[in-house]
Amino acid sequence: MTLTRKISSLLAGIGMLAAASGSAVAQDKTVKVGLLTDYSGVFAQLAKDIEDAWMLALEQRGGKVAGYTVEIIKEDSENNPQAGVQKANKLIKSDNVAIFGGTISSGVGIALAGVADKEKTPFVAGFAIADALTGKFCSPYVARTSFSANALQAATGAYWAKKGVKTAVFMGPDYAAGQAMLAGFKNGFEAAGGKVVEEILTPFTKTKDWGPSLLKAQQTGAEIIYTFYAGAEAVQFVKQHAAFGMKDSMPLRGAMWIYDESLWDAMGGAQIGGIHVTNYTNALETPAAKAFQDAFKAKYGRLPVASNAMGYTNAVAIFDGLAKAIEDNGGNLPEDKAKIISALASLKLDNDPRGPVSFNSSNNAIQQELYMVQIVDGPNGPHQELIDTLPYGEDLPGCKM
Amino acid sequence: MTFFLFNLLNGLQLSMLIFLMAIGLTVIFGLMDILNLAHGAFYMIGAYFGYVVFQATGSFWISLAIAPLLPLVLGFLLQYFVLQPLIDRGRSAHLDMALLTFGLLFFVIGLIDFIFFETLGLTFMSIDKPAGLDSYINIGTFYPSYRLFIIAVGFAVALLVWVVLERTVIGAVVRAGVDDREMVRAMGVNVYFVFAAVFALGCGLAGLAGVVAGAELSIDINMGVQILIPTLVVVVLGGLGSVKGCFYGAMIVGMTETLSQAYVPALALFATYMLLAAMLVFRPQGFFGRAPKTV
Repeated sequence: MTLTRKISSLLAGIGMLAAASGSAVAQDKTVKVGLLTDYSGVFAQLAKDIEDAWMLALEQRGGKVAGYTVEIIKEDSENNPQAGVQKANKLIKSDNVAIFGGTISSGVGIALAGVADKEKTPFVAGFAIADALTGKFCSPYVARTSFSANALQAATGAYWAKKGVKTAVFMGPDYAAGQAMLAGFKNGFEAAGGKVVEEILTPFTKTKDWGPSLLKAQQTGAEIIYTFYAGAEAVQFVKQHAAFGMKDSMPLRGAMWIYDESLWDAMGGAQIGGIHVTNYTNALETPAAKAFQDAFKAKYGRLPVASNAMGYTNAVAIFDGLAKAIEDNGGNLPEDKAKIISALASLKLDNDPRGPVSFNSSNNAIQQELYMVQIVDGPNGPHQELIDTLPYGEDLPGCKM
Repeated sequence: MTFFLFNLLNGLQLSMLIFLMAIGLTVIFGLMDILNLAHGAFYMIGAYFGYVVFQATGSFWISLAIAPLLPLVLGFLLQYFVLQPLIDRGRSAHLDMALLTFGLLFFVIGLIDFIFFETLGLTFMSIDKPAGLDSYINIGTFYPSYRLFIIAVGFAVALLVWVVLERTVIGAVVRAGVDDREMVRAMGVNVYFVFAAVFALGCGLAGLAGVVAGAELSIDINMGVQILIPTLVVVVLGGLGSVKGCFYGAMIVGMTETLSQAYVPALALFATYMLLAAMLVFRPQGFFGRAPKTV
């Protein structure tokens, strides 16, 4: 036996001992949490962002909540409601998770809200924005840490009208989310005295050229284009808007998707000067935002993006909600899992990177301030600058629990 | 009036982009009877390799010159070493070739996803437009100069392909190879080499379209499948294997998409498909296609 062989067998022995002692620890109480998100499909990058944030939040809690060791079980909902329901049932029935969350797609989110309600297992949407999730489909087993389309867009619409913008053209993809964003923006903008003079909805993922629609917008002579595009469509739209020389004559306004940081490289400078609303920006100087940025950078070597912050709030709400429910129940996981959601909804997350976060008790939906930011060029490349804060809007009515 | 004029320019621009894709597909189909669904993959390879070259050199023009060479070489190898041997072994039914190349398309998409997204963490990319073409010109309304460049490239390629196929000896050999393969071979021409060269050129043009589109649209994992659909519509409209038909077919599809979006947005999603359905009912061989050969 050579020396290296001896050393390696020694190491193997140590490894086995460590594993044995590890299993002794695992005999402590364990709580299983499902991370069910869209790892494959168009939201793959967002899913990674959310997972990274979850792992950071778990690490910061030493892998435990209220004495329970947290075991995360990851499943892929494939941006497909059927797959999501199947995986949720697997998490609930064979893995026995106490709670699950993370979900991005609104379609999947609504389907999962149904499963959560039927199986009486808490579900916390991490990114889904459909109004119905905390409206028509609300449930004592469902909470949301992202935001609703109406609350975000109505707040933004009201903001621009109050800034003196009288006329706007809305442009977005012709599918459920695009229509929800349009309705939300119109609600807020027109209630505050503005007028949407033209609504241009383009075929979702089938549009290759925005030229005709941009020219049509130009014809209206409106002051701004308010827009909701994401991913490849956002890249093409922002680039073509700039190429038609409309940045000054008819500037773009929108929410975080249109100017998402992951798209900046592909926009090749067309994003500079863009103003949009967001629920998190690295330009926030609060101690909580700074602490989050430092911790994220220490773990991953890069600054977080808005979707990381969304994932982080999602994980923190789930972990701290679990901890509170366990503590309230004398150190044990409550039998009635609705108590986990009610504990979560009573949390006041004053140290959230997105600013103080609380929940609406009537539909378990998040409440937070929103931020208006501008993309400016600097010596270290483009970055966001905070130009204003604005109050959160209202969720659409319709929730009966 | 200017609104209409600018929409015509937009339509022309989209037509030319689709034409660059469709010309390769239609010539390959006409000459070799292969429905090459992997054409979308060569478009993607052109765009992604164009991005890599652009990142390395910082020059759009070098990228435009070099990037199409990779799909060109890969196209040659595919036809010469994979598709032709299969045809020789009798696996030449349209469905066989369509399935094989369709599978190849998804293999390439998966491979690109693995390299660029899983490994490098890149989701959306773009090639910067070159100086001089990155702005807009004022002709009544601001119009992006890069779009005029796309139109120019489309016309230049159309002219070149037409001249080569109709007015040169190479073109004569290619056309003869289609009509009577054995006779051309008997005259000492390596038909397989000619076929592979034509296949390669078609793939190279798809790659060129990828680089050109990479600056105007965005480079992402869905681009290949997205462009393939209007391209197939063009091939059907124009008639399989017809260069002239391909040109007019691309014009019709590009204009239909643009003008429907400008004037009747509600129809934008399916105007092209209505056109396709009407064509298949009334003139299935396409505008310029030959009537089916009788045996």
